[in-house]
Amino acid sequence: MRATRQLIGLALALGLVTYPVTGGDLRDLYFGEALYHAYQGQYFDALQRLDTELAQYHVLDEPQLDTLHYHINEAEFSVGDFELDYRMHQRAGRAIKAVLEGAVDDAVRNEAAFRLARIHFQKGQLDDALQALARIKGTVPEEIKGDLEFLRANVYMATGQPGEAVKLLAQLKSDERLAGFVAYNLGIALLQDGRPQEAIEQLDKAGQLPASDPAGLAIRDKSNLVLGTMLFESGDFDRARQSLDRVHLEGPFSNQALLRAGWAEASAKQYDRALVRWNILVDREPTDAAVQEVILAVPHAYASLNLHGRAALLYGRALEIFSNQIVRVDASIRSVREGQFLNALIREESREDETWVIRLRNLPDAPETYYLMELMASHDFQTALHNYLDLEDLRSRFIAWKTSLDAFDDIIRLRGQNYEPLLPQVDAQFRELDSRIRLQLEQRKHLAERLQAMLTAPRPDYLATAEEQTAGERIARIENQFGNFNDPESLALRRRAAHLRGALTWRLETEYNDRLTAAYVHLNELKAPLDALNQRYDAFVRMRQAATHSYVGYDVQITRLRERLDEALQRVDVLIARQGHMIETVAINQLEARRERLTAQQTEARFGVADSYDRATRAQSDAGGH
Amino acid sequence: MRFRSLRTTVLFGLVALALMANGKKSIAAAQLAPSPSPSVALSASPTSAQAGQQVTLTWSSTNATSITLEPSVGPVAAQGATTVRPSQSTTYTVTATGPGGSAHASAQVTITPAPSQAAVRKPSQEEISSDQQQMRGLDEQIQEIKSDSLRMAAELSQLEEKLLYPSGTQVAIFVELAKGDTMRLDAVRLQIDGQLVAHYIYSAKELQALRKGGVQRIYVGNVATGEHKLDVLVDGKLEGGADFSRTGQFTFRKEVKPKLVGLTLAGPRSGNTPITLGDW
Repeated sequence: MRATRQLIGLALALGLVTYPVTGGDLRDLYFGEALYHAYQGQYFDALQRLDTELAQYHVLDEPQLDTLHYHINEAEFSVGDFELDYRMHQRAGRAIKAVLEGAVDDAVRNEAAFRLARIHFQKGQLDDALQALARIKGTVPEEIKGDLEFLRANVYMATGQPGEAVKLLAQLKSDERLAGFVAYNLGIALLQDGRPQEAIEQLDKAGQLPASDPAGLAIRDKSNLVLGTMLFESGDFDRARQSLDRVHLEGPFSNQALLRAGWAEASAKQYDRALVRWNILVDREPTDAAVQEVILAVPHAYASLNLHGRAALLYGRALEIFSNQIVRVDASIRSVREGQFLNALIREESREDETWVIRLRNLPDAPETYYLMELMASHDFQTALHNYLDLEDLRSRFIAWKTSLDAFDDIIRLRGQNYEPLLPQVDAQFRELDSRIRLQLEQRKHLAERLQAMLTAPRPDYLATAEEQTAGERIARIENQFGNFNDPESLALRRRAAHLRGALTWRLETEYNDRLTAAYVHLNELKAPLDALNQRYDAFVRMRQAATHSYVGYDVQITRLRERLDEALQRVDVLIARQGHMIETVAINQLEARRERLTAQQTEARFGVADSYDRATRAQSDAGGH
Repeated sequence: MRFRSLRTTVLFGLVALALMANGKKSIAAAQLAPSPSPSVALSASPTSAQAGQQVTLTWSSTNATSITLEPSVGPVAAQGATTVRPSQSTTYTVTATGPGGSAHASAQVTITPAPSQAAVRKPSQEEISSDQQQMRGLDEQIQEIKSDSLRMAAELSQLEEKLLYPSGTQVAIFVELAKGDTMRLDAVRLQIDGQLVAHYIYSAKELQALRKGGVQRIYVGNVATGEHKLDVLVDGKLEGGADFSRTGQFTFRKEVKPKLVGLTLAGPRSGNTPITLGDW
């Protein structure tokens, strides 16, 4: 039962795939940029971008006018996804809660509740997951229906309600992507519900489902492996062998399946048939635990067939293999202790694709990572390993940021040196320009007011030309000069002056409307150059402000940031050391456990050699005697 | 444990030889007396094992001329030890037969479930839980420093924007692929007013991110307000592997607020305009 239980443990998480963010056409470039980083696994950058965008969005007066508005729910969901991917479980879900509490329609609220439940489930907060699931009411978006029920069933299984999970899973019509997981989990739920016979039948179905993608194939293989193990444990060797034989020979479970199928045959005393499976396995990677088991099982099978000479030879080979492997494990332990493992892990080029863990072996002085494969595949170790890499990444960022702060200081200093001698002169010129512009604006304003007043109270004299004004003044002078004389000459002059005054007044009065219109036209013509002047004025003010802003007012912020960075750098150094030490310790524990097993196997092989030689010799002498 | 059983076996072997040598004398002496009844003893170590795991059976007998160990072993010496690998619970029986009759002894080996990888290779439960506790404790601290780092990053990027790309002059250029486009984008080159500002060569990962709908901010810089000329050169490969190049000339207008320019690229076979400029 123990083997079965251990196999089951892995299956729950397998079905929980994180969804790619989907949606309509992209309207917000910065949201698109966050996705661009996330799609490359750069979750820090993705989060930084999206956090900034969301923070800006939430302080807008009219957020509905912002381009992020079209994607706001998707963006809040994505923050949660990115936080989970960046292994920030504590923070994950906060943004989604905000959606849940907001005024949104059923479909959006239910998707938020589903995602929140999924986060809680992944964090192991099962009560919270149940609470979030309980909030789902009304319309559920079609595309999450299957996933939602699958999650619900997983939560039931994790909370010890396998019966409820069985009810859900049995009627869950899922798409091809989930079908294998649903079928497998139903089998496990039945088993947990104390219905082993139904569990066996269900796993038998799960083990024969069509599958095309690697995840589907893996879960099908797993169903067969679990089923085979269960049948083997219940003594049904024939059916055990049948289901183990269905495990894909190239898949991740094939070594275990071959080993167990061989044992199923051997238990039925079909040693020659057991050897068919074991002889496939025995030539595989000698660091694999199943292969190491079979290295001893093969000579045992030959011995059971009374082929003691062959058994002795194979025990001899096993002894050699185990001795070599012990040397390799010792070298690996040494290499981990010397820090080569961590050095290899942080090398950028070693992480380019998914097989990087295996390729670590090719690096000089790196440990035998095959021995660490199973450990490295475990969720906790993966999290620890990625956290270590994240810490290394943060450290490089901190160092780069410190360099940036130094550069900012330089920029600020140089800008200060450049602007400070210039600015007093610029300011003086600006003041002069400013007063001139103000004067012109004042004059224009005055003119405009006068013209406006002249519409209601006509003042033709205001529209006299300079010449007319001079003429008017001269006429007035003449009028004054000769006003009190009554001699004929003076009278003639006064008449002429009155005539001229009349002519001038006539002209001003009759041309008044045309002149007023012309004055308006002229005033409007003044608008364009004045606007241009205003624009230049504004541009100057902006540039003048920009000049000041380019080097004034940063000192406190930079000093504070530098202090925070220094403190963070110290913290990250301590964390890197502790995390690294922990990873090394776990790896060494693993290697030592493997070494212990190898030593035991070496002893068994040594004994096997002696025993088989003994029997071979005896058989030979018996044959000779007869 | 294993060494000890080996040593025991060797010791038993020596004892057996000595007894056999003595036995010859006894047989000669026994011819004069009635044959004594044989006796036999059998033990298994360990008495409980996993399927396929080695178990040592040790026996000793007196007054026997033939000894048989069943099942699966057969005739054995008067004293000795052997190893077996039972795949299911088995009762082993040794039968000693001599002139004085026969005697039996049994030993039961109980089989626990088949060995799993995890059962034989994982560190002890205590080790696991202490490792896990340590991992989790550190994990929380790591999450805290990640949060702090994100806050610092936000402040720094604000500072950087204010210092290096103030909104009055800021221009940012973005690149995206037309929806569903499968062209292989190799490089994009940008010139603003005849000045080369960006020449970006795409990795497979970046191209994949663009294909999924991600948007790349290819350039951030400063320009004065007013009209500007933007020249775009796109290099890529068609599905068949043939190279292609496309160019586009655009103008954009920079106002006082930050300017965002989006370039949407499409492969020659998509039927879409190869380079489209959008304003945001």
